[in-house]
Amino acid sequence: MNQQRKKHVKITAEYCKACGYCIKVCPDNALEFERKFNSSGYHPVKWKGKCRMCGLCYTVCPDFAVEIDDQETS
Amino acid sequence: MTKKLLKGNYAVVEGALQGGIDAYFGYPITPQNEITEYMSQRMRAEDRVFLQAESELAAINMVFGAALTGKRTMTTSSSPGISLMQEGISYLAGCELPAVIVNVQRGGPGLGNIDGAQGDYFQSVKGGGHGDYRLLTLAPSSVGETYSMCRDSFDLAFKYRCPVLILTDGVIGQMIEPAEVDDTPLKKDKKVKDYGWNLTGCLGRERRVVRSLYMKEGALEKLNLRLAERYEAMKKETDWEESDTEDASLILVGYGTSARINYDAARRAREKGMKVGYFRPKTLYPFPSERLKELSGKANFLVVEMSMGQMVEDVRLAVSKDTHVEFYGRPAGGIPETDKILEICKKMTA
Amino acid sequence: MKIRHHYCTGCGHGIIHRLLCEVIDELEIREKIIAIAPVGCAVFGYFYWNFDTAEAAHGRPPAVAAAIKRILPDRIVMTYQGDGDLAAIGGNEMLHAANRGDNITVVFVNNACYGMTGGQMAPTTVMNQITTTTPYGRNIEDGYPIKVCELLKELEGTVYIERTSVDSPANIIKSKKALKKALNCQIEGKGFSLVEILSMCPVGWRLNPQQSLEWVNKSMKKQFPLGVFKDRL
Repeated sequence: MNQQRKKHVKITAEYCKACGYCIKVCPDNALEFERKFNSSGYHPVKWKGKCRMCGLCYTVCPDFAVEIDDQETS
Repeated sequence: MTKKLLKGNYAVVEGALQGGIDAYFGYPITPQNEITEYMSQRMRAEDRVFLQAESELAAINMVFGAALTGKRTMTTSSSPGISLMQEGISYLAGCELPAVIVNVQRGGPGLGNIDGAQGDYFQSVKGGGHGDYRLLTLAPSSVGETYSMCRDSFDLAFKYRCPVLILTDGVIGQMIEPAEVDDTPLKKDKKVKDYGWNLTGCLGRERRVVRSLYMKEGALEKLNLRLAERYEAMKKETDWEESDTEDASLILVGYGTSARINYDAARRAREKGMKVGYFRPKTLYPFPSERLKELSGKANFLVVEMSMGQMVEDVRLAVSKDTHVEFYGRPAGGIPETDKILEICKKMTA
Repeated sequence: MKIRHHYCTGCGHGIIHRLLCEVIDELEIREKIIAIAPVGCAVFGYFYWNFDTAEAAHGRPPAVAAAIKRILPDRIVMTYQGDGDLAAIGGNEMLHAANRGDNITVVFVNNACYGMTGGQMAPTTVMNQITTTTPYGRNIEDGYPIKVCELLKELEGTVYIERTSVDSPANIIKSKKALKKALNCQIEGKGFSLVEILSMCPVGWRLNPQQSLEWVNKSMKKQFPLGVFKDRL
């Protein structure tokens, strides 16, 4: 098995309040609002899946919704 | 116990030290300045915390902070200063924190004057600050009792986790008389105790939150019910002093300085052949209502206060319906006159 | 942090809470810290902080903290206050705790309005700012915005005073450094430290989150320049 650790932007959609701060600061245009609503009625932010992993989205998120995760992929 | 010649305000300090005070915070106001001044020497000499606050607001909130840590803490002031402290006292009650507050009453309202008075009875036992709370209120009538009440008040505050108020006045504060004091050496306990509610940093345990804001439906009601239960349990602390009440047809009721005048008046009335008794509540909250009710079957009452009539309302609530309750008082530093009391006694026993 | 907080969309408190918790963990003081929450939006700080916390009466946290620190000098005592709590109703307590040089750390969140009560004028509301109690904009009759850092730096008792903001990643990182320095100041026993953080209140300002970032940058920083005002470390 070819296992490797890969970084991953994990967004807890339920915490997101759609302020858009992360979208504004993202240098790679890697984030966007989802079309669907979360249970609080916000359009949560979604990671498009590819970026330089700078972590600015984590830095500016006021809602503890963004995490930079080490994800194990095979 | 040793007899010592002591000033009332100094007795507060010595009593508090004997009671194990750890931290004192105060702001100058007459007629209780000796307390803050003497504390500043004694607390430092005993290696305890003393801080002169920038206001009574700060003083009571420093007491709040000290109480949070589970230490024995006290502040003292006089009527206008106690008014300023009411917010903090309400918070202490809401957060279920033990602390001791001494009110050396002076005349009011407003800035009033600096003479001894008893105009703060309502403020002390009927609320004072906002919300549904009570203060365990003790009323000494001598320098010796000031000492012992200050000493024992900390244990009471911790027993019921509530602020305890010692309601004295400028006359007793400034009075010098012999007082019984303990000869036991002062307790020195520098350790930080864990009571299960105090904040000391969450080392080795779950973190704690001390608060009085309860937004969830029913949560605040729970707190109020818990407090009410505690106030009910407090009733066993009810204390009073009485003499010559057995055969009395008239009983003089008063607390603090007024009671001293009553004591003398009752004695002189007896000499003149009047069946007059003497009754002094030592705790104003809880109030000795039950005992007064028992006595009211046989006797009428004359309530004497250094105000225009505050405790008299509680006496009227306590006694049976057909009991005659008269009032005599002088406000704003006026001292009730023994002759005047005797005159009323004569009318009421005729 | 694994919790959904009650702050509004775009509010800066969430960012500042996270920074604070990160710093506390990095300094390994979680089990030593006692925090005092204010009256205001951050009164519920203890829902998100995993350390000993108490609520104080409006404006009084510095007095409460001063007493705790004097009784337990080996603990870390921090107050977290908004502009109304610290600069209006608690002005006196702030001034005197700072002047006494009490070895406490004050985290002062300045969002130029009373957020909790719906966006009224605060002592730090900037000139011409529209709030619910200055419907035509703050003018000289309402008084001038109070500059807490500039005021406190003059006092002998203060050791470390800095003003930062959370309107951009760079400033957020600076804020974190400032918080760390302030807490370190206390750990080293140096004395009174305060970090003022300019923060967004989009709901109180009637702006959307993006506009509120702009507003911090354009309007607030003009009245409240960022920087270190005192550093006697």
